[in-house]
Amino acid sequence: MSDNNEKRNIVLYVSHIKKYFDISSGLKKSKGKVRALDDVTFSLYEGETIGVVGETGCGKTTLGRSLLRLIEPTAGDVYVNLPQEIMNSIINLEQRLNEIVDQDNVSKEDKNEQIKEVLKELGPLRKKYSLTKIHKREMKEYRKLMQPVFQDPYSSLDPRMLVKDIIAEPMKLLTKMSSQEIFKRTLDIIQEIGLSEDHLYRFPHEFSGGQRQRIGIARSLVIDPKVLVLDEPTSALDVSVQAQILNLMRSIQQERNISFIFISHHLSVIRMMADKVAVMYLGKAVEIAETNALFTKMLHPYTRALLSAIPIPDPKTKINRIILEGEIPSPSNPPNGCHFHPRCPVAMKNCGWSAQDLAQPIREMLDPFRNPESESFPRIIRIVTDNDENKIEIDFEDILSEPQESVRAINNLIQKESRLKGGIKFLAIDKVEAISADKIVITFIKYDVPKLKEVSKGHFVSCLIYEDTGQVKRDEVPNAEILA
Amino acid sequence: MESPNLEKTMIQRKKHPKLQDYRFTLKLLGKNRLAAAGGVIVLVYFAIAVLDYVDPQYLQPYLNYILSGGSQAFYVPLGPGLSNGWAYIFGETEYNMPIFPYILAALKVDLTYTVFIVGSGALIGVVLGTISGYYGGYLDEVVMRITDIFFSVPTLVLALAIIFALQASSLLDIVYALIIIWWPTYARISRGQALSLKSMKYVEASTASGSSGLRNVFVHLMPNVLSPVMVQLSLDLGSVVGVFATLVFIGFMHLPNPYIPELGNIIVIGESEFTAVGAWWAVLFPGIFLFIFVIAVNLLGDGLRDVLDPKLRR
Repeated sequence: MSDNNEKRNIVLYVSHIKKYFDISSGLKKSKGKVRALDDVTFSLYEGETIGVVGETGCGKTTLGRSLLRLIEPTAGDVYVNLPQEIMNSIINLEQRLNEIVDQDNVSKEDKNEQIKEVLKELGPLRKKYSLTKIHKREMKEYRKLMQPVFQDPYSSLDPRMLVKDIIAEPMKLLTKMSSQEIFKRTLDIIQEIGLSEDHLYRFPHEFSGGQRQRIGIARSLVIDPKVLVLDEPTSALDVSVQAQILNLMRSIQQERNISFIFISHHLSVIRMMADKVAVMYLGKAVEIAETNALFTKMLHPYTRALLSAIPIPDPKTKINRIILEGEIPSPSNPPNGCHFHPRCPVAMKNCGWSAQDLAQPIREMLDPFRNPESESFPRIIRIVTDNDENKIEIDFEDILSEPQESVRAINNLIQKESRLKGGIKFLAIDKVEAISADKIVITFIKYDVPKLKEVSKGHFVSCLIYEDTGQVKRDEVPNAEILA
Repeated sequence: MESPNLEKTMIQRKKHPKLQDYRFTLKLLGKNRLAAAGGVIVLVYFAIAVLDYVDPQYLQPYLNYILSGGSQAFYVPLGPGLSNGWAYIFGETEYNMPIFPYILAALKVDLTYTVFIVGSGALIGVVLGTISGYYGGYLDEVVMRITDIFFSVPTLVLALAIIFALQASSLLDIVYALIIIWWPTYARISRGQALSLKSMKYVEASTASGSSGLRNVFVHLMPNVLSPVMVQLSLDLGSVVGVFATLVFIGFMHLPNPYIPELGNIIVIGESEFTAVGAWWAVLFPGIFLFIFVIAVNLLGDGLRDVLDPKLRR
């Protein structure tokens, strides 16, 4: 398939799209930000389906809504259905910009200079073509090209409108067709999706869930869009009806060469429908790959855990489930570095461990009731975490009799802890210092932030264990056998 | 699609599925006996009011007599009875004015003003409430705080205050006062509805088809907001007639003609006869007419509540 891709046209290019929601209380704005969608980039060929998977709250639906500009994205650009030369040059420019931003060994001034240069070319193109930059009035042209299909067929049809008016609405708003033409088109489409013309004169509440979903699909197809955003289109339906709807969508795709963005948490459905899959975690795409590659050679540890949760209908088969510990962190205060590191079974020491992760473990380490070896230390009054400077200050009740000795003792404890299960986080401690008689400061090594990188052809992964070489760094990764 | 088929479908469209839906609603309403009874009574009242407009001839002589102050002499009023012709079934009130035609004329005045009050109140309230619910933010804050002000003062006291402020000297002034008081109820109801409806996917789907915010409000939200509003509206018809009559009864304003046919006014006039010569009928019959209307409207409103929700009625 990847060979034909060179000849097929890219119909949608999404570049670093972000959506942060303000946490507001009353009239006072912005107490913080929820990073619902944090930098997602992908492209979509004509007639291709990209599946978007992830657990609840990872930003799948926000992605779909931002693409359609139902909510205003905070940053990023979306290009849809442009002439191929323009699309290619935009993609080149966007990628070059990205490379410049990612460079490490260049001074800031040089970087800014280069960025300015690229933006000189890219800026006008963005203003003209990017869905997130153009004026709302111009959106109408693009709304013809992208349409949504929603999850819940019960709330996606206006209960007071006749089916014929529901289906005709996009045509009335977006095209200049006469009412005769609109009616004829409505008639055609309702038959295409497997209902008959007297269904047009009924209200939505007279239909079953599957029929309603068909009507929803008819509404989005009626203006011949290039891209459909399918937001969990089958998860509210019975299993038998799901299959019908999926088959219907497949045949529609084949006939009309439409691209799908298929959002779902149902992995089997994704495997059946999608050509490539984007796995999302906490607002970021952690792995993008062709479906087969993803399901056979998954790279990211999160993907591995996610796919190991697919039930196999055979009681004798042993599944090596990777059970993730803890809960999905709050997107308003995501972990540093790689968002997944606190739950990652193979996290390395530079994956993002920082003061906020270690405050509690260090407190437990120095608590004589939990750890008898820390008996020699006075009681801790408080532990102050400084997230900006990434350090922890420990205030003791009494003065430490011999600070240097205590520092050594703490270092020993840390070494011991780091050899235990899940002790990798203690390796992220850079040094322990006694800054006064009753105060100890712990600083951490610099953590790295993973970037979405192409590891093998068409297989992107955002994980530090594949950094640089594209191979697992076996000597640095604990529990590497999980990845076998 | 071939054209004969298209024509056939066009003919089918003339069956008016929306009309069929209304017919279905009526049928459901008919199954609820109390609501049906209420509906019939309300219809009769409105029929009388309409008849007064269409053909006032049969009332005209009596009305002229009443408005010019009746006999202007203190004769003892006749009691109720069938012997003196249809106009005197319910007897006479002050200055020998026949009560029945007086009531019939009053129904026209009362219902006209009530419909006007409730209608304008609902219109203002629904538009403001739906828009503020849909857009939210400062607009919503402001509109809702204004409604809070209205809700913080008892209806009747507020009505009196406004009438006093307007220096009301006609029934129309009472109408304005009551519209000012009545819209916040509808604003609240429709705002609450709009809040829950605006996150419905069909609104989002329509936005994705290029529908503007105001179009969403008027095409998608309002028709769906309307069913609880209709219930409130039918209930309010009763209470507004009551409040309207109460205000006239209290007599806070100077009416241009003291004998204006209005149920509250008839009761006021009758009340003086009742205390003077014990003419109980002069108070009882206009009171009964008022009472029956309020009851009927409430029964109808209760029935509508169950019937109007398209999801509940299957």
